[in-house]
Amino acid sequence: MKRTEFTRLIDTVFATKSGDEMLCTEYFDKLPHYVDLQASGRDAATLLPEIRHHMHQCPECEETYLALLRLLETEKTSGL
Amino acid sequence: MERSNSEWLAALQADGATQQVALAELRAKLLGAVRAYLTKNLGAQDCLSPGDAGHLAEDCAQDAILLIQSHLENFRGESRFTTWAYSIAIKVVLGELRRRRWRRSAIERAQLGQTLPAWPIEETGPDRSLEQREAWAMLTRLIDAKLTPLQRTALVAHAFQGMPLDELADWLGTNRNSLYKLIHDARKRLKQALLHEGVTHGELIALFGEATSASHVQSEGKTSFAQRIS
Repeated sequence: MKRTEFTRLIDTVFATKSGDEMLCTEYFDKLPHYVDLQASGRDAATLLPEIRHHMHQCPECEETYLALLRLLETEKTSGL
Repeated sequence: MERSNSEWLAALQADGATQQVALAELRAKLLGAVRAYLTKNLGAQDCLSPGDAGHLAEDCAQDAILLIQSHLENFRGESRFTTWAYSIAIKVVLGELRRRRWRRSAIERAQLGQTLPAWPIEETGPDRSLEQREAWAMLTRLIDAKLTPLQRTALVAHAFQGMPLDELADWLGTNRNSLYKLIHDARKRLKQALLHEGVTHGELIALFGEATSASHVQSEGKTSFAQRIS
């Protein structure tokens, strides 16, 4: 485990909510909307905070977000 | 000209040539997306043999097409159709790359979910300070004492041994959502235990973060973890 992964784990422990958190399936369903909002310049993290929280808590889901966002940027600037 | 969401749905649900044209167009977009990801992410290449990326892109684009066709009713129109389709293709390729990386990992399968590392951080760096070693000893003690056996197994396998969530869910005979909930509950117990010990987030990050060096931590003259929690 890299140092950044270990400190991320510590971050996720202390950011854990006492109640329920959005699960991976719901996150994935809503992620395209989140990324479209962000790609259009909207503040997606404020509009959809549960999605932002889930991607903080779940590095695998965050990796999907980052890859999708970069893909849309590539599509916009140079096409696929 | 880009199709609208309703045009994509209508064409993909049509019969004959209309559907075939739409599928070919979608497949070309997804193949371009997967190729772009594999090309731009050097981290993906550590689990690909030479020439493998092309085959992987073709396979992932095809798998994504099949998933999209079987889940069209799940598309609610909140995003662009193509963003939704790309998200599925990205999920497929990332899942495959994680699987390949995991199968090449050196984790002893008999130790899976069982053994916490003697030290959690692989990188070489400043010598471990007394406070860092005490903090890790406390974390391992709390993980062992406060989590249920299943919570501990999931946390150790995923967080410390790097097992991907989908692989871990299969191994435990559960699904991704239930596994997320299990790990959420484990983190919640660990957080409560840490707070009960009087340990804060900032304190642990200061100890283990990038800027920390052993000499810096020791020079602050803080009360050690062992002294504080004994």
